[in-house]
Amino acid sequence: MKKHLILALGFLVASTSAFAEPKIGEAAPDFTLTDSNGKTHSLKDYAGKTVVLEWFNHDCPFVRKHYDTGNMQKLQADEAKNGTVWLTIISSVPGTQGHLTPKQANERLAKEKSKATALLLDTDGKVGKSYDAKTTPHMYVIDSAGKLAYQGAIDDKPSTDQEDVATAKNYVKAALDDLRAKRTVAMASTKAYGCGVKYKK
Amino acid sequence: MMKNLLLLAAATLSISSVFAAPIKAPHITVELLSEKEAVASNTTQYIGIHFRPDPEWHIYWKNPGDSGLPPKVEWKIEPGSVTASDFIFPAPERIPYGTLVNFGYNGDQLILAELKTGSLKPGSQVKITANARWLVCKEECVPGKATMSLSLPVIEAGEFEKTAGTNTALFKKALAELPLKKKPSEYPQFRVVHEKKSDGSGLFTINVIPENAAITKKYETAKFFFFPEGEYGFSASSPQTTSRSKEQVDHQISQKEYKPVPVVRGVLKIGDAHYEIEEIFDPKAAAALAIDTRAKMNQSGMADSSLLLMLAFAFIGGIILNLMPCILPVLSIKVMALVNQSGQTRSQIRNHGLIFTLGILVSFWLLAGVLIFLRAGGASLGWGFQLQSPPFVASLIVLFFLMGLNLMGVFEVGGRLMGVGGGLAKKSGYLGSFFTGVLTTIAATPCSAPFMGTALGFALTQSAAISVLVLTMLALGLAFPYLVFSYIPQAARLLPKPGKWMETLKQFLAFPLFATVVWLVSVISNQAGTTGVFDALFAALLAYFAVWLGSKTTIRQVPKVSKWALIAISCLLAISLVLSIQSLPVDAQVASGKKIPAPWSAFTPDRLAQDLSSGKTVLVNLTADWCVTCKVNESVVFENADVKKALSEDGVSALMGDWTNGDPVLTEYMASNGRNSVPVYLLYKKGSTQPEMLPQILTPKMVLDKLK
Repeated sequence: MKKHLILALGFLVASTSAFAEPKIGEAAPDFTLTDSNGKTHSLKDYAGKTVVLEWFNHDCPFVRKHYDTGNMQKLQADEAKNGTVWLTIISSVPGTQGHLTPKQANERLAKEKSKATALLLDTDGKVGKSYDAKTTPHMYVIDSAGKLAYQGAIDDKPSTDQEDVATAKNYVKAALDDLRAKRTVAMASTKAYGCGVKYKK
Repeated sequence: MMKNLLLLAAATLSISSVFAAPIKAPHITVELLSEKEAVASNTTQYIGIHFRPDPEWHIYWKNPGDSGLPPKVEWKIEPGSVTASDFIFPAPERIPYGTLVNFGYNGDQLILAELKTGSLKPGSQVKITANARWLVCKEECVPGKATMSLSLPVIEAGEFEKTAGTNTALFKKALAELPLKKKPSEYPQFRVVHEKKSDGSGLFTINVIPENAAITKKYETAKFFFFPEGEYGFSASSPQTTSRSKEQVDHQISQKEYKPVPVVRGVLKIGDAHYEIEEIFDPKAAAALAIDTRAKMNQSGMADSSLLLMLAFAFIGGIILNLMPCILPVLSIKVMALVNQSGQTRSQIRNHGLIFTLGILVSFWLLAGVLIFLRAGGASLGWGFQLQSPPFVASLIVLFFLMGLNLMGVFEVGGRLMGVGGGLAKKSGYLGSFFTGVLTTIAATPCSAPFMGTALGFALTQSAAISVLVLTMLALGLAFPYLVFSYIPQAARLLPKPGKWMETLKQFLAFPLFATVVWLVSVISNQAGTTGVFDALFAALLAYFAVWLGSKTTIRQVPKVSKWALIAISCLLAISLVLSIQSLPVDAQVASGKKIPAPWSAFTPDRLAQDLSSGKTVLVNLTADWCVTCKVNESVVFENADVKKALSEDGVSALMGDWTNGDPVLTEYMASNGRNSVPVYLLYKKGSTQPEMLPQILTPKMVLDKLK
């Protein structure tokens, strides 16, 4: 009996320490973060708009694949024309790869010619954990009703090769197109690929 | 002294070529190794890539976990009778980073591949080149790639057993680290159960039953962990719990939301031991998944192959096409055109060659255009699709019938074009050469020559531009012999001078054309039944009537206007007859006597999955009535008594798919194996879901060897 109790307790502890994974079709977790210019952004500020969340680490080879080819910036620019809000988020804790101070973050935005709406600094990794963001890049699309419509990889070619960008199917673009056409998102959840997010160890 | 020095040098050189030098890359050293220092015919040994990351850096398992990327290798081996498998991964370790979990290897790891040799000549060399790529990480990740080569001398099979091993300790360790495969009758026994819970979550339970009824001491304290190979609705960092009862251990993993999966595969760690686990929940879906994964691999493989190689293949394929039985009817026309040239100047002959080539090119481009357009529209098509349409077959019947009559001398074509290819091709002017080219293309399409199949399969999965490029090379190959002939004056001079023999030859060449008509009638009888045969033959008759009327310049009793009206009516009637021919529905075709002969059974994806899950060796044969290569293989190979016997055996299943009318299920199956035309021969050995594609030209010996 005692053994079973211990096991059950262990199970409980194990399950609570796991990520609270947001579900497709349900309300995306709200958050409030400061951007690289000191301005605060909350998800509920953007109610009524489609929002894209992009987890970012400027030195990760998978992120570089999409930035060096201009792939990410192009999607950001195209979507900006459609009124989509694009939030790039850094959840690397201080001292780890990808972490940037606000000044460095602005320099990075300029260097990459990013067309994101804002770059949010999730310095304690809490927002990343609330979304169960595992890799950089890890993409989320939230529809205008605030529900999670897509989570996962940016495209279907998990690699660090730049040549793959041209021939890959971009899941984020597909999800956004589906939403605009008022269709159900065909591929709503995929396994994200990339470097691990540098949360606190 | 000198001799000894030379010998020493030679020995050193030969030894050094056996080992590939280790390659230093950022944060890792990689090296290509072989188990033995030589190879022999028909043997297997292990080779591998030894990854040595810097301390605290790691590489990944086939499923890297929450992040990362597994290492991949592309083998290029000469000669072609030697093949190497993909990476065979040793049991992984769990590498956590905070709350994220990866699966990989900390420290040195030799990742194996199996090297299989066929027939080799002792004294020759086998060259193995590996293009490896990987991701090595500590906290940050660094991708890397390297090309490494290794040459192994070929020795006598008898000597092979005694050959020294190289890096024996390393290979022994790597082999010991491979997860164990347990047969269902061996212990420990594994079973995976998948349930949907009342709260909507899913639960996987791996039941582990050890040898003794009471669980051994080892299982009481050993740490259990399941490394999933694929995506089963839970992540690498999902909690896994172990509960022990008297007779078994239950190891459980939850899915946050219940999601059915057709199969679960992975490695179960029990203390220091690792076991391969597989549980198939839905055999059909699992087989379909395997075919799909292979298709993705095939497609990416083709995208990587050098375009130049494909273009070369296409060109050679085009040349070989000249030898195929399809071209025979048009050969008549070609030869006639060639012979007609003996009275022409050199430059005229060259121009004829060029214009003939142009005729072929234009027709290929048109066909490519139509195919691309229809494919974009979603139609499931393949090369040779024209012959799946009964009206097209009927048109060919009419066309070749008239052409045959024409060659026979039954009627002459006047200055007027009849809109029929035969008349056009017979015209000795440049226009004639052009239309001979067009006709050659039309006749060539149903044949799928060896190189052509690969080139076409590749071309039609690529962009429109590449498709056109490949088909252009094919067209040039087809025209090549004729072009060479028309350019080399010596050869042209060999052409005999015109004479009476030309008339006899012309009449003789009508016979291949008539033979083709007979064959096409049999094709249309299968496609559209007796009505189809009637319609086609009657249309041919009407067409001949129209031609006969037209060839008579005046008929005293009939006014010119009425004559032309009659011609017009006959033509219209013929055309409408041809267009009205419809395919019989598939079941009617089977009922109309188109049986699948024993030992073959009808191919369906379900039947394939069923046979594979019962562990049979399956030979899939996709054929079509109008595919001449298929028919040749049928009579030479499949009618062979020994082959028939081998295919009738218990553990073997022979499945035949009829693509005569372009069955979309078959088109998709072919496409997933990288092909879009028949014949297609795929061999699944003993229930393996990875088939081997056999060449398009088979021999009885080859098939018997493969079935063993």
